[in-house]
Amino acid sequence: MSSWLQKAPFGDSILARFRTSLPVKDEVDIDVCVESFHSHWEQAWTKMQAHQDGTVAVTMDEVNTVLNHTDQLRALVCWELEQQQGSLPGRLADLFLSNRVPERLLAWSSCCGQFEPLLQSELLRVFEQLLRAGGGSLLEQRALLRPLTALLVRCRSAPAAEQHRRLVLVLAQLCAALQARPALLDLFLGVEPDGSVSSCVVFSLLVEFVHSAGVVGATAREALLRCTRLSADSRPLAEFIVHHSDFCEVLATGLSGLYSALPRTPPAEDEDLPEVDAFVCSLQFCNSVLQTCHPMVSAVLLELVYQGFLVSVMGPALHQSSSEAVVTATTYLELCIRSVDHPGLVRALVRLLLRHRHDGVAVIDTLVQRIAATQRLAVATLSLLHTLLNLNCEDVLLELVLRHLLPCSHLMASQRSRVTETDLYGAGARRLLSLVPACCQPAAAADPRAAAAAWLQCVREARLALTACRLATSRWTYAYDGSDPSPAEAERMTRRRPSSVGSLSLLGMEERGEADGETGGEAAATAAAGTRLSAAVGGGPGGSPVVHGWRLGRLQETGTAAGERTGSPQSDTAADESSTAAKDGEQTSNDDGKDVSSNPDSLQSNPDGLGSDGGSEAGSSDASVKSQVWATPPRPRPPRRPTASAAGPDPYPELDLSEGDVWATPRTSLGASRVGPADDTPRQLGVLAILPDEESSGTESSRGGGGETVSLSGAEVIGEEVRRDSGAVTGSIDSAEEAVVALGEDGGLAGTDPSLVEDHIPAASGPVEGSQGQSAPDVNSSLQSGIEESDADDGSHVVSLSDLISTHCPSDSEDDGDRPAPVNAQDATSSENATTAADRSAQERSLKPAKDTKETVSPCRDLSTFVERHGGTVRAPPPPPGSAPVSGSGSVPQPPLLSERSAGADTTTAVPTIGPFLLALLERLDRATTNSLQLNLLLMSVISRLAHYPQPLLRSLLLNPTLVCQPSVRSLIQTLGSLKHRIDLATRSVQDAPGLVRWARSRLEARPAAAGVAAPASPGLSPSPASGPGSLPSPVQGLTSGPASLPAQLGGAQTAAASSEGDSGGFSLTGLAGRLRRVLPAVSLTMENSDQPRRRPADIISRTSVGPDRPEWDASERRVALTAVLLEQWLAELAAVALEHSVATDRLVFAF
Amino acid sequence: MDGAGPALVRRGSMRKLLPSVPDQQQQLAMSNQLIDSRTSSPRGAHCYGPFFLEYALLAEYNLLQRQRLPGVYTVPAARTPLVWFGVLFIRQGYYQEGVFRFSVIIPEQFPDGDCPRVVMETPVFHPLVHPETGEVDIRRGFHRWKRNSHHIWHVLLYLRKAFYKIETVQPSNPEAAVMFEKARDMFALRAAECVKLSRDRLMDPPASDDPHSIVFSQFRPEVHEPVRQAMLQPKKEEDLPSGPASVGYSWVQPGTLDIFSKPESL
Repeated sequence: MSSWLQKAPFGDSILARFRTSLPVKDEVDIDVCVESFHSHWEQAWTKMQAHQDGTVAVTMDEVNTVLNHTDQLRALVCWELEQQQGSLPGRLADLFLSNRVPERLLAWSSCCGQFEPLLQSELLRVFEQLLRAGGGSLLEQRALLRPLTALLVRCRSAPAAEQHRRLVLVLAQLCAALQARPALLDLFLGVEPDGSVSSCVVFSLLVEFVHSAGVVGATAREALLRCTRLSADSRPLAEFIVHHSDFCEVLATGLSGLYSALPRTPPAEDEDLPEVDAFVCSLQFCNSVLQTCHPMVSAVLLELVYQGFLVSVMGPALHQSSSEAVVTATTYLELCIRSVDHPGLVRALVRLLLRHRHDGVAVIDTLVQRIAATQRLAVATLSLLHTLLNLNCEDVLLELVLRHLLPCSHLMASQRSRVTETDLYGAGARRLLSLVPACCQPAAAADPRAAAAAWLQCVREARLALTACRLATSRWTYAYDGSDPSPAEAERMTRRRPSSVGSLSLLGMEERGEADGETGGEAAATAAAGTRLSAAVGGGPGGSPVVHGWRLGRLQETGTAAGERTGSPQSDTAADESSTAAKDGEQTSNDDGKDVSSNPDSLQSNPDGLGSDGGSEAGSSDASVKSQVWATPPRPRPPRRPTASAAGPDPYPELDLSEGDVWATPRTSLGASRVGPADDTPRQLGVLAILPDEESSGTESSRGGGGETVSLSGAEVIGEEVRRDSGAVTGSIDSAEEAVVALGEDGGLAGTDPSLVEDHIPAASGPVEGSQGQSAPDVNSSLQSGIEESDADDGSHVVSLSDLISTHCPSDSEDDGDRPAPVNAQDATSSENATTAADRSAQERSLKPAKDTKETVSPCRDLSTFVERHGGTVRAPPPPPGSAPVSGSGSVPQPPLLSERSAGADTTTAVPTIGPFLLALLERLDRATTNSLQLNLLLMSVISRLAHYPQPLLRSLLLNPTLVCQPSVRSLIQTLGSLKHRIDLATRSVQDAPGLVRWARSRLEARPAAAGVAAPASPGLSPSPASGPGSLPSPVQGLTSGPASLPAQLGGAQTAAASSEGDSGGFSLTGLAGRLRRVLPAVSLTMENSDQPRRRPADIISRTSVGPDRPEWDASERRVALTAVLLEQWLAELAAVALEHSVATDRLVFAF
Repeated sequence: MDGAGPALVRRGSMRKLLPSVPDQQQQLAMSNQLIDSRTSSPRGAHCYGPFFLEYALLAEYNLLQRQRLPGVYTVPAARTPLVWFGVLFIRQGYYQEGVFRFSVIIPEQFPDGDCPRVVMETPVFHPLVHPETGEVDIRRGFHRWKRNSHHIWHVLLYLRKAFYKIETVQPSNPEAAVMFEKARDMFALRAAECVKLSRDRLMDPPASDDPHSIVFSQFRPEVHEPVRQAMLQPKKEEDLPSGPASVGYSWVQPGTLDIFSKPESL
C-alpha cells in the first residue's frame, strides 16, 4: 500500500493529477501515511526550493509535480480530518501545518510567473477541500489561516473566471465553517485599535460576486446569507457590514441596475425572461438577507433599497411619459410586492406607494387616478392595487379607504350606529342578487343544480377568503367599526398634527412626517448611507452629474444632521419656508437621484419627461422650473375659491394648474432666489433645497404648525399669481387639452359617449414642450392608434376613443397631468349626470383663450416677490373640520365631491365622501359596459377583495343595502343598480336577447380554457415569484375568485353533468390564471384585451369558434351582454361574501 | 359538562361532542351540510333562495352562541337546519337537576313565519308544556314573531326561564297549573318525578336518528378526558397555521391615524 502511495503516478499533464483520487483507505496505518506525507513533501519541497531564487523559469512539468505532491498531502490530511471529526489536529495535519505547506506553496506560487494563477487556483482548491473535510478545525491554526487570508487577498484582483469560481467555493466553505463555529469569526475580522472592525476579507470578497451569474453568483449569495446570519449575533460583523462594507449599497444599486435591464415593454407571456429572473432573484436575495441579518444591517439596507432603488428608480419608472412604459413599471412593481415577504421590505414597497411623492403627488394618488385611465393602464394599475389589498395591510386600507370612512360623513347621522349591524337575514345578498340584469335571470334559474353547485363554489371561496382576511387583520390597530376610533377621535387624531389639519397645509407633510417618524430617528445613519450609496452609484455606469448632485444633497444632509446649522444662503430665509422647500427639495433630489441609480436608460426612454427627469433637462430653465413646479402636492385647494362651481365655466383645469404651481413655485423661487440665476439646474435646486431638510426632520417637533400654514398660504397666493403669469407651464397643457377636446368632439360625432372623455381631458396635458403644435400631433397619433385598437377590438369605437383619450392622460399625466386629473375627474364625475360632455368641451375651450394669453413668464421672479410679500401674511382658511380627516393627512386627493359642493366647503360641516379610491372604482364600474372584459374582471376582483375585509365601516358601506348614505354619496349598490338599469335598457331592444346572452355565456366559458392554454406557455415567468421565499399563496385566490368562479357559474349542461369536475376545473384554472397574473398581470390576461392588437387573431378565432356568431349583434351589444353575464357572476360572488360576513364569527378553535 | 355524573357525548366522532361553542371545522361542515341539503330543492323566485334560510339560521345560531345561555345546549340537526336539538340543565327550583331534551322546530318561512316551536322529548309535568304533545307554549312570549327583534336565542331563554319561574296563566297543562297554585307540595313531587324520569332516561337512545341528535353516555376518562382537556384549552390564534399571506401588516401606531407611524420592528 505504501509503495503504491509512494509511486503515485506523476503524469506530465495537468489531467494526470486528477487521476489521484483519495488514495488512502480506512485501514491504512497512520504511520504509513506519515511516511508517505514526508515523502511527498520532500519531493515537492525540493522542486520548490529549486526555484526559490526565481532565476530559473519554472516549467509546467515542475508545477505539475509540485501540485501532484501537494495534492497527495492534501488527500492525506483530508483523510485524517474525516477520520477524526473535529478534534485537535492529528499528526498529518500537524505535519502539514508545521511544515508550513500552505504558506510555502503560496510563497512559491509568486515565483512561478505565468503559472501563478494556476497555482493559486489549485491552492484554493486545497483550502476548499481541507475546509470541507475539517470544518473549521484547522482555521484556528495560524499556519493555515495566514496563507489562506493572504491568498484570498491576492485572488481578489485575479481576473480569471476559473479562479473566481474556486475563490467563491473556498469562501463558501469558509462561511459554512464559520457558521458552524461562530467563534472563529473573529479571526477574519480586522480589528482597529478602537475595537471597531475595519475589514472582513471573506465578506468583502463575497460581495464582489453577489451579482455574478450562474453557480458562482448563487454560491456567493448563499455564502453571504451565512454571513448575514452570523451578523445577527455578531455586532462587530454587523457594524463592519454597515460601516465598512458596500454590501448594502451593492445590493440596492444592483436592484436598480437589474431593474433597468428589464424589458421596457410588457413581454409576451411566452417569452423567456432571464432579466426578470435575475431581478427577482436579486430582490429575493435582499429579502433573504433582511430575514437573516442584524437589525442594524437591515435598517441600512432597507433605507438604501428604499432611497436607492424604490424612490430613485421605481418611483420615476411609474411616472414615465410612455403609457407602455408605465404599464410595464406597474407590472414590475406588482411583481416586486409579490416576490417579497420580509415585513421591512413590504413596508418599504408600501411606503413608496403611500408616502412617496413624485413631483408632489403621492404615488398612490396617481395610481388611483389611473383607475380611470386607458384599459391597459387601468388593468395594470388595478392589478397592482389588488396585490396591495391582498397584503391585508392596515396602512394601505387606512389610506385608500378607511380614513375617508372614519368620520362617518358618508352616512346619515342616524345610521352611524348601524355600521356594526350584522346582516342576519341576507338582505345585502338579496339586494345584490336582485341587481342581476334582467336578461340573465331566466337562464340562471334554468338548471338549479348547476347554479347551486356554482353558488356553493362561490360560497366556499368567499368563506376561505373572509376567514383569511379576518385572521390577517385581527391584529390591526383599530377595529374601524365606527367607535374604534370614533369619528370624533378620528378627527382629533387627524388634527393632532397641525400638518394634517387643513387641506392647505399639507405641503410636503407626508415627507415631513416621514422624516419625523422614521428618517428623523436614523437621520444621520440614513444620510450617511445615502451618501455612500450615491457615491457607489457614481462610480458605476449610471454615474451622471446628477448623481453628484444627489450625493451632495446627501452630504449636506449629513452635515446638518450632525447638528451643524448650515451657513448657506437660505439660512436667513424663514424657517417655515425653508422647511417647506426642504421637503420638496428632498423630493427633487430623490427624483434626480433616480437617474442616478444606474438607470441611465430612463433618460432616453423618457425624453419628454417633465418632472421625473429633472436631471435630463438641466440647463433649460423652463424645464427646470417645471420639474420643480410639479414636485409639489396638489392637496392645497383652498375651499374658499369663489370659482369652484360645477355649473359655471369650469375653472378647474386652470385652478389645478395653479395649484401645481402654487406648491412648486415657492420652492422654485426660493431655490432660485437663493442660488441666484434663474436658470439653475434642478440638481442645484435640489441640493440647495435639501439643506434644510435635515433640520426639519431633526427639529420638526419643535416647529410649530402655524408656520406651515403661513408658508402654505403664501404659496397659494403665489400660485394665483403664477397662474396668471406662468404660461410657460400651462401652455403645453392648454394645447394638449385643446387637442383632446377636439378629439372629444370628433368622438362625439363618431358616436362616442363624450362623457367618457371628460375625466381625461386635463390629464392629457403631458407633452412637455408647451408647444401646441407638438402636443397635438401626439394626441392625433394616438387617436389613430386608438382607432386601430378599436378595430382590433370588438369594434366598439366608444371604448377605443375613450381609451385613446385616456391613453394620453395617464401616460403623460405622471409628470404634470396628475394635478389636473383628480379634480377634473371628480368634477366630471360629480356633474356628469347633470352636464353633458359638450358643455364640458365648451368649458374647456372657454378656458383656452384666457390661458393662452398668459405667456411666458419668469415665474421665479414673480414668485419670489410673492413669497416675500405674502409669505407670512396670508393664512389659509381653516379647513372644514369634517373634511380634515378626509383629505387631511392622506396622501389622497381632495375629497372627490369637494368641487361639487363648493358651497358646503365653506361651512364647517363634513363633506360626505367615501374617498377617491372607492369613488374611482365605482366610476369605472359605472362604465362597465364599455370596459374591456379583462378590466371588468379585475375591477370586480378589486371590489370583491375590498368586500372581504371585515372592518364594519367598509363592510357596511359595500354590502349593507339598508344603510342610508348621504345623498351625495354613491354606494356600490347604487352604482350596480344604475348599471343594471343601463344594461336592461340596452338589452331590451336587442334582437334575440336570450341568444345574445347565450353567446356571451359561451364566450366567457371559453375564456378560461384559453387561459389554461396560455398558462404553460410562460414557464419563464411563473416560477420566479412563485418559487421565491415570498411567494404569497393567497393573493391568487382572492384575485381570481371572480374569474375563477365563472366557469363553474356558467350554468350549462356540462357544468351540471360534472359539477365536481367543474369545480376542480374552476380551481385549477384559478391557479393557472393566478400564476400568470401573479407575474405579469397585464400581459397574461390579454386574451380579452381589446387593447392589444397582437391578440386579435386569437380573439377572432375564439369568437368564431365558440359560439354561433350572429352578425346582427353589433359590438356594443355584445359588450353589454358580456358585461351583463359577468355582472351576474360577480353579484353572486358578492352575495356570497355578504352572506359569509353575516355568519362570520370569532370562533373558538379547539385542539381536536 | 355540568358536573352531573354522566358526560354529555354526542353520537358519531369525538369531534361531534357538543361544546357550547362548536369548533370552526364543525361549523364549516355544518353550514356545508345546511347548504347541501337544500340545493336540490330550490324554492322561491331565485335559485339562491334556499341559501338564505340556511344563512339566516346559521347567523341565528351564531347569535345564540354568543349568548352562552347557562345550562342550555343546542345543535342544529344534520339533516335539516329547521330542527335544532337541545338539552336543558336545570340548576335550581322545582326541576332542579333535571336534564331535559328538547327540539326547536323552526318554521320554513323563517324569519318571516311564526314563532319557532319547542317540544320536550321526555314528558314534563309543567303548566306550559302540553301533556300529550310535549310542546312548550313559547308563543305566549312572542305574540308576533318579528324578524330582527326576535331571535331564536330568545326562545331558548324563554324556555329556560319557564323552568325557573313557573307561570300558570293560560296553561297548556291546566292540571299542572292548578296543582301549582293549589297544591304546591304535590306539584313539587310531580316535578321531582319528571326530573327523575329525565335522568333515568338520559342514556336512552334519542328519538331521532339524526346524526346530530344528542346522546348521553357514561364518562370514560380514556375516551372523554382528552377531549375535555382540549375543550378547556382553546387554541390561540397564534397557533393556527398561517401562511405568509394570512399575516396582515399594521404600521399604524395606536393613538394616531398616521400611516407608518409605528417604529419599524425588525
